[in-house]
Order: sequence, then C-alpha cells, then structure tokens
Amino acid sequence: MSSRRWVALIAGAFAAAIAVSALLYRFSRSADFDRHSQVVEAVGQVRHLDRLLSEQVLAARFGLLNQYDSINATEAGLAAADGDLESRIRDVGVVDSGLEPAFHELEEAIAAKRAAAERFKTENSILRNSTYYLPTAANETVKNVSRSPTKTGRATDKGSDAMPVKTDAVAAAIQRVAQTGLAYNLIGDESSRDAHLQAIAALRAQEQLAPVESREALRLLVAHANAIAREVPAVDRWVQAAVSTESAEKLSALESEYQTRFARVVASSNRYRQILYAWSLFLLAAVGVTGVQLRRAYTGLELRVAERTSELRDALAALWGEMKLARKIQEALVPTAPSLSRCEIAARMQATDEVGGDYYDVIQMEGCEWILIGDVSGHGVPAGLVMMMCHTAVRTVLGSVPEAGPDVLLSRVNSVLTRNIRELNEDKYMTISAFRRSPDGTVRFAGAHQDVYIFRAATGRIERLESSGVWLGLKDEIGSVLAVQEFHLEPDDLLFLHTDGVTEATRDGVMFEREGIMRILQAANGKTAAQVVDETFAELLTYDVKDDATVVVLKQLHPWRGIEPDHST
Amino acid sequence: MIRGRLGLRLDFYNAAGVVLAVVGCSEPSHTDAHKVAAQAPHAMLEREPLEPLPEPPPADARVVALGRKLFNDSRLSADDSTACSSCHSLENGGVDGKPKSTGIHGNVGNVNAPTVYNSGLNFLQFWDGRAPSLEEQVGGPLTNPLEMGSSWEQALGKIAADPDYRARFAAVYSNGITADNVRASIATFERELVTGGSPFDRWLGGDKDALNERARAGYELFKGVGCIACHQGRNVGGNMLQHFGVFGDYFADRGNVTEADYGRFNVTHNEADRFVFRVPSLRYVAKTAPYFHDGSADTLTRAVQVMAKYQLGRTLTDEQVGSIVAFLGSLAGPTPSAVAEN
Repeated sequence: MSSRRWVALIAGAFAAAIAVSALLYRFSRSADFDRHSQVVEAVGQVRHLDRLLSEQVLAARFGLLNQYDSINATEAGLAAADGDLESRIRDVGVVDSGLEPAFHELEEAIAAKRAAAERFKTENSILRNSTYYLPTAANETVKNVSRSPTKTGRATDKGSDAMPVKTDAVAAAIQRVAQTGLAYNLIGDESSRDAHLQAIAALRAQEQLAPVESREALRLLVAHANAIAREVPAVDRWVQAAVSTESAEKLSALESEYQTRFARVVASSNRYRQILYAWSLFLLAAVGVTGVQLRRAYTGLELRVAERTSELRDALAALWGEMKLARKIQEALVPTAPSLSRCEIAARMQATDEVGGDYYDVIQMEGCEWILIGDVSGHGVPAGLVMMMCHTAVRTVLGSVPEAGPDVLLSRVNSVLTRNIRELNEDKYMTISAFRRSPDGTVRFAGAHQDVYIFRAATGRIERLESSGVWLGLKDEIGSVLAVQEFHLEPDDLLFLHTDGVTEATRDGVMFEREGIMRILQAANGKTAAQVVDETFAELLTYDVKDDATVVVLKQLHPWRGIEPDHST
Repeated sequence: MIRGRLGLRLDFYNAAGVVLAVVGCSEPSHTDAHKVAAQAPHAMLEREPLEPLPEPPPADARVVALGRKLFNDSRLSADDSTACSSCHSLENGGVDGKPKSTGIHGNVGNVNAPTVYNSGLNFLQFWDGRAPSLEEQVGGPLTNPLEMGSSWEQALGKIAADPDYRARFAAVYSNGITADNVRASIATFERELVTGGSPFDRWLGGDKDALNERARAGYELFKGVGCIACHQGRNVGGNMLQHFGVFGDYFADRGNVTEADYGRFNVTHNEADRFVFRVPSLRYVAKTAPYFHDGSADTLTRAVQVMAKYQLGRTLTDEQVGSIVAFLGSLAGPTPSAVAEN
C-alpha cells in the first residue's frame, strides 16, 4: 500500500474517531441540567404565584387586602410564568405529544382560575360596599326613623300610644337585618342565610310602619341587605373557583410528566456517558498500542538498517577482498624476477589502489624469447580480468604455435580477447606490443602500445621507435593491419619499455613524458637493467602517479658472458 | 362608621366589630378600631387602598420619540385626517371632550374616548376590556371604520414612504417597519404618559399641606361611601370589571340602549357580562369630561351623583359630592415629560 493511502487511512480513522466521540458527547449531554434547573425554577414560580393568587383572593374576601393591584400583578405574573414554564420545558427538548395535553390542561386551569378571580373581584366589590355600608345605613336609618316628625306612615289606623312601639319595632327590624347580613357574610351557611332573608322579609313587612321621610333610606337599606344576600353566594362561589387546587394539580401532573421524561433523558445520557468513557478508554488504549507498535516498527527499522549497513560493509569488505585477490592474481601473473639468455632483464609494476590494467610478461621458449607489455583500458576487476585473459591467451597461443611471429600472436590473442570481452559485456580494449627476441639481439615486434626506447651504448644515443597497429578487443580480425618491425641490440644497449602510468605521472602540473625517460636513459651508461628500473621509480616518487606504472628494461650482454664463462676467468 | 386613615383597610375587623356592636347595641369607637389595627400583624393591613403612581417605566428615548410621532400622525388613518391624538389629545387630558369621538368622514364612534394618560397602568384596555395590552389596543382604532378606518397594509405603506420613519425604525428595530414595531412604539410612548406627582400623591407621600381640607374630606368620603370598592389601587381604578347599575337599572333609566352598552358581553357573550365595563381610572378624571362609556355625564358632579345612585345605592348631599369632586381634582399630576418633543 502506498504511503499516501496510509496517510488517508489514518486521517480517515482519526476523523471517524473524532466524529464518534463528538456524537457520543452530544448524546451524553442530551440531559441539560442547566435547563432542567430552569424548569424546576419555573415550576416553583408557577406554584408560588398560583398559591399567592389563592391567598390574595382569600385575603381580599375577608378584607385583609384592600385593593386588587396585587391580584392583577399576580395574575399577569402567573400567566407569564406559565408561558415561561412551557417554553423552558420545550427548551429541554423532552416535549412529545404526551406532554402537550398537560400543557393545555394547566393553561386552561390557570385561565379558569384567572377568570374566577376576575369575577370574584367584581362581585366582591359590591359585597364589600354593602357589608361596609349596611351597619352605617342601619344606624342612620334608625335615627332617621326615630327623629321623623310624622313618626308613622299610617297615622290614621294606629293610636298615638302605639307609635313609639312601632318605631322601636322598625328600629329592631333594621338592626336585625344589619346583624343577620353581617353574620351571613361572615358565616355564609344556610341557616345564617335563612336568618338574613327572614330579617329582610320582616323589615319589609314593617316598612309601612316607618315614617314617610325614611322610606327611601329604608329602601336603600333593604337594597344593600339584598345585595349581601345575592352577593355572598356569588362571591363565595368565585372564591372557591379562584382558590381551586385544580391548577396546582395540573401543575403537579405536568411536572410529573416532565420529570418522567427528563429522567429518561438522564438515563439515556448516563448510558451514553458510560459509552463515551469506554470509547475514550478504547481510544487511549488504541493510541497507546499504536505508539508501541510504531516504536517497535521503528526499532525493527533501525535494526534492519543496521543489518543492511553491516551487510553492505561486509559486501564492501568482500569486494575489497576480491580486489585484493585480483591484484594478487595480477601480481602473481607478472614475472617478478624474469631472466632471458644473454641479457639482464628487470621489470616492475607499481599498481594503484585498485587493480590496474597493466600487463607485462617475459617468456623464454625453445629457440625464442618473448617480452610483452600492454595496458587494458580502465581499472578494477574487469580490467584485471581482461589482463588475465590476455596473459592466458598469450601463453596458450605460444604453446600451440611456438613459431608464431608477433603479428600472428597478437592476431590470435585478439580473437580470443575480443570474444571474451563481448561475453563479459564490458566495454574494454587493450594496447599491447609483443617483442620476439633472438639471443643474438635481434628483436621483432608488433602491436600498438607506447613508444619503444633504445639506448645505444656505443654512441650514447637514444632511439625511439613508434609502435603501430591496432588495439586488441575492438575488432574480431586484425591480422591484416599488424606490421612487424625489427631492430637489433648490440652488447650494452638498453631496451626501455613502459606503460602510460609512467609518462602521465605529474609533478606541479608537468608530466613525466618522454623527457623523463630520456633523462633516465642518458644517465644509463654502464648501469644495470635493475638500476635503471630503480632510478626510474625513484624519480617517479617525486611525481603523482595516478595509474599503474610498469617499466621493463633489457640490457644486451656480450655474447661470451654467461655462455663462455671460462673466458672471463 | 370608622373614619380616619384606617378607612376600609379594616373592613373585615370593622365588620366583626360592628356585629359585636350591633349585638351589644353599642357603637364601635375609634379606639376599638385602633386596637384592632394594632393587634393585626398582617403586613397587607398597612397598605392604603390608593397608592402613588409609579415612575414611568424605563424606555429607549428613540422609541418613545418614534411612538410620539406615530401617535400624532394622521397618516395612520385612511384619509390622513385622524391621528391617535385627534381623539386622545395630549393637550386636553388625553381625550377629545366629546361624548363620542368623531373619526374619518365625520363618523361618530360608539363609545366615549377614554384618556390615554396612565392607560398603561390599566389591567385591560378599552371600556369592555377586550385588549389585554396597549400593544393589542393600538390596532383597534386604526382599523375601526368609525375611527381611523385604515388597514395595517395601508398605514405601513404610508409610514414606509417617509424617509424619516425609515431612519427612525431602522435605528431601533432590526426588522424595520412592521405592524408589531408600530404597536410597540406607540405602546411604549403611551406607557410613559404617567401623571405622577399629583397633590394627592404628594399627600400620600407625607406632604400634609398638599391637600386642602375639602379634598381630604373628599378622600375620606371616597373611601367611606364605597367608591374605593372599585376605584382603587395606584391608578384609582382600571384594575377590575364591574356591572354598571348595581342598585338600579341605569340603562333602563337612560333609555335608548345600544350594542355598545352591553360592554364586556360583546367580548365574552356571557350573559353575566352584560352591562359590565372596565372600571375607569380616575387619575385624570377632572380633565376628561364628559364621563362614562356613553359620555352621558357632562360634569364630574353629575358623574359622582350617578355613580352614588347606581353603583353605591346611596344618596349623597351636594356638600359630599363637592368634597369628592375636590378630591378627584387632586388626583391629576402635571403633564408627563414624554409629551413634549425632546
């Protein structure tokens, strides 16, 4: 899976976890206790105002409240508190169709209570006025009757001695009405009502006995007495309606319905809270486990990196080992102490850190001797391999065709080399010169490599021969373009062969070049081959040698030396 | 009869005392009543049946100014002839002085225009109490064909055409010009029309010289003869409904009964409410002649006499009536500051 998909997957899982948490949190918060407390408060307010209205109506009924402003304020407050309660319950979000009737019934009960209070106010004012006025009116009427100049309304049919008695009877009836009226107002039962109605009837029966001047006062008195008889039951009926506990019961019913629903919400919310806690713990654990896993994976990664590093180090070491082996093979292949007849021969190859491509060989065979020098392009194991192939090929060709000339040798070697290089799939080639020497000093050579230097001991001159031909490893067939050159070495002459590592060594930006070789050879008179090689490398110490450097020096000796040792003794 | 500041506050105990007195055939004394009062611990006993007017409610001055402009704007009527103030003249006691008001096209209304002063303290609005608030009251005259004869659509259109209104409404209402905002503005203005600081209120507050002797005697009579049974509280009325004609058939005596005389019956269609009206506030009564819902009483004296006869079942002497009228004159305070343009 790609890393982008991993990131998307992790982000998705993270978002999903957040969403689940948010949802659980929201569900766990569905019981809003702030709003619940507001509902409880509003219930308390409605209950308080409902009770207060009842108290105020009762107080007004019994004269403890002398005006209705406070009742109006309570009524308005009650209606507002009811509306407030309903909206607060709706805010909690527990309203369902089962709760709507409870709202409606409470509202109706409160409206009925308010309407009763309204009618109570109206009727109670009339009752209050009459109960207040009745005793005053009674006293005034009694005085009125007693002081009246006519004394009686029916002067013709009663004697003058009866008049004080009649007046007293009227006065007594008046006071009886006042007494029964107030008693009825206070007691309000059937017997007190009957007593009051009888007193009114009795007064009306004696109305004709009262003086004419007091008739109007009597009429008003009776009107107020009747008002009391009429209003007491009306007022008490409205008081009962206004102090009815129906609204309180409806409130309790609503409260109970609400509490049931809120309790359900609380229970559900608690459940969700528990789930939320569990979910949080799970997330915490998941985060912990993920952290541990990551840590483990990281540790594994580190280990693997260390392993790989170590493997690489081993591989490198192995590679280096191979390189060293390749170098050893290369060193083993080149002859360290070559010898040929009637000559001194010295050779040295100074390899660079890597395996270089330098090649030289000295071969002594029946009837002829070979000196080969060459250089494979590039460095490293492939160059070393090509060099080894060449070494083997040369030996093989010479083994099978001992009489071969240098051109034939190189042509055959080239065939093998070209095929092998192709099989190696390497882009390699090789410069090489092959020298076939006769012990008498005649040398025939072919192949393109570096220039060939010859120091003539007799004259002290230095000859330089350019090698010619083509490089090996590029073409399958090169026999047609190889030319054979020939020179002859006199006794004490020096043949100087080298690879480009020598001429291309630099010092202060200046190359060793042919001038360096000339300097060595000019001072070579009387020196042995080995000395010339040593001097060359001693000189090269002061140079920066970047490539393999190989020098092969051959010094032709006098014919008798070595062959006829008795001459020298 | 018990006299003095205790007045009707003690009518329960008073009544009990009278019962005892009647039973014992002796008159209750002031001293007895005072004793009873001193023994009554209930806090409600300490209240006078009348109270000073409260301060006008706090309100946004911009809304009050907007309400005042609307109140005085005749464009709210169908023919641009009649403003609220046409019938509720703020210079004339909040009324028009006519038995029944004249609306657009010279139409004569059904009832006497009640004063707009202190109307915010009434527990219901209109003679029949059909509106529970001033906000709901505003629409009545505006759409009554006999009064302003307009419609909300028409009135709002005219208001919206006035850039000054647009700016004023935008300044105080987020939703600009609406019927509710017009109602709210006018009602807010009207609630400021509280005529506090009357001689009577100052006297209640302890200023003994604020009322002359006659007015004080009138107040005692007002409580003593029973006016206080209905005209009570801070607004001296306006806090209850009452039958018109308790001790006599006012309407039969007056004759020519109209539908408007049915009063609250027109609202509830309950027979018990026939001839029931909202008890009017007497706070500005001296300045709001003629009186009653039918505007039948030209003078306050006449009104007091009618009330005594039909509501209290009493006959009052001219002297008593004069005292009560003097007292009623002391109920009116100075014109509220909200009336004046700021």
